[in-house]
Amino acid sequence: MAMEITRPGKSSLIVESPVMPAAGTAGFGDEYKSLVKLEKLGALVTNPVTFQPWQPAGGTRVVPLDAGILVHTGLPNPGLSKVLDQYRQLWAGLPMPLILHLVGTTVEQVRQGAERIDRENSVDAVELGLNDDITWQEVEQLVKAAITHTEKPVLVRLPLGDTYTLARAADDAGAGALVIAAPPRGTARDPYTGRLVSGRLYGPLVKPLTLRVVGQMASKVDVPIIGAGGIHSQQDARDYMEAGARAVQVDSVTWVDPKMLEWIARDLGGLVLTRQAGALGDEWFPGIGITEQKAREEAARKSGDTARKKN
Amino acid sequence: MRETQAIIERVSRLNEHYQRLHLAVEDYLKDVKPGQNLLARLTERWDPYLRELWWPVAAANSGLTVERPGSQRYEPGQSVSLLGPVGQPFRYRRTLRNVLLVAYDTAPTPLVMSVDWLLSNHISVTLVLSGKAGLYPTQHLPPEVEVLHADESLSWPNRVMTVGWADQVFVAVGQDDEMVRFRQVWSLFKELRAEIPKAYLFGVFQPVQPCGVGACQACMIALRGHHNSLVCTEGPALDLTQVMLE
Repeated sequence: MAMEITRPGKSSLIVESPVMPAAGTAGFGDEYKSLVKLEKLGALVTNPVTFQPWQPAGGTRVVPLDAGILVHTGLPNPGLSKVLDQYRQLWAGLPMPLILHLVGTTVEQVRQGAERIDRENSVDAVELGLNDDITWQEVEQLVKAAITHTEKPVLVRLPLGDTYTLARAADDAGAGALVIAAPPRGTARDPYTGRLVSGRLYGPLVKPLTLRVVGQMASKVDVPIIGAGGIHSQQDARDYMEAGARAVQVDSVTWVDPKMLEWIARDLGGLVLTRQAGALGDEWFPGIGITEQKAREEAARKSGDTARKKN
Repeated sequence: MRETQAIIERVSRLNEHYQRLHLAVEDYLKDVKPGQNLLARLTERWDPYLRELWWPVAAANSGLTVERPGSQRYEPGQSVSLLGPVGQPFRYRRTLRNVLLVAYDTAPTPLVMSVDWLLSNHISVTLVLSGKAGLYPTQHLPPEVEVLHADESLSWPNRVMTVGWADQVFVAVGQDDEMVRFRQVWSLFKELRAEIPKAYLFGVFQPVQPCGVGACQACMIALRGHHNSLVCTEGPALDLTQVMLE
């Protein structure tokens, strides 16, 4: 079930399933290989990568919340060149497109990063991550810096906030698709240290926030939208599609229930589940669910009976 | 690393602060090694959200035993989703004769599983319980284990001799600020020994782990020489001579 999730053109991104992990939740490609059937995903979005190496944040990184978590990692990574060297071979062997999440730091670094990625056959698209306090002018500059230096599709992940203004700027600058949205920021008290910690919020409660924005943006901008935030079930993902998203990104549920990522991908990839207890339709009959399969078998049996009677 | 279901067969109390859960598990989990842990989820709901970090303390043909705080409530017959084994086994030296285990303001639970293995390999074990670790009962430990109680400043009788004899040291600290506490431990050992060689003093890290597979990178520790290490995939025991404690 091939579908185009970016603007049509010579460098559009076509996926088999509209479900992919969100940046920062599934690592760089092989972390979940023993827990999730990666081939069921539409694409793989890498952890955030910066042009220069970034070190992990100091102090508390994770604060458990009621029905969610706050995470502040500092986006540690060895820098774009080392990441490409380290994972090139792995990505080339992946059964689905690879989207590299490039952190939009400065125009110059985005320009250099886009040039570097453009030469990489193992990368199929770029997802540009934006700062939460960014202005629409900066969005325009960063997106232009990326799309003028790579022919690969450029997706832009927007922060929650003045999303409409930023979405318009990204759309005008030529973004291939908009990812709405980056996990919202929050502050919570660390129960171990007693200190206040700021970071990104994950959990089911994020979904209503972003779903509303996705619904609003779908009717206001022409560029395809990828919904992201708080998806914890197949129905959550379908809600985003109903609101106008072309595809979805699944985030923290992968950490606590890794199989859910695969189930959502199977479900939205056309492999509809027809019974409870975790059984997956395509495991016993590829492409259709058990109800449809039984209906076809019954129809075939009846037509066989009719043919025998005629004889 | 796999995800599997287990059943709590029995709950036994060590004292009012600690309890043990005896689990029926798949065979591959019975091979879990000292140092490795599990991420457990007991409910289909999203509160609590994260999986609990469970430390096995014994593995046998009959199943797996884990140790949990006494304040948590578990029921026999309860089904548990387990992700694991998480992390790498403790790396012991080949010429090991004496091991010092230190629990500083935390239960020694992450270290307990290694006790039986060490004793069965004729390695002597000294366990130092400091601060809040003093609440941990020791009657169930094998009599060969030398148990020493330290005060909150990590001071115990014959400290110089204990540290001098130890071929390797594994330290678990309170989770309130692991880096600060490991710095204190490092300073203490620097005072007690002229030199701290590589693979001698290990910190057993217990950060909150959202994923356990190295994807979220929330448990990343900065090492010397601009390297990083993930506690969930390369830990939990990291050589403190390599860790950037500052």
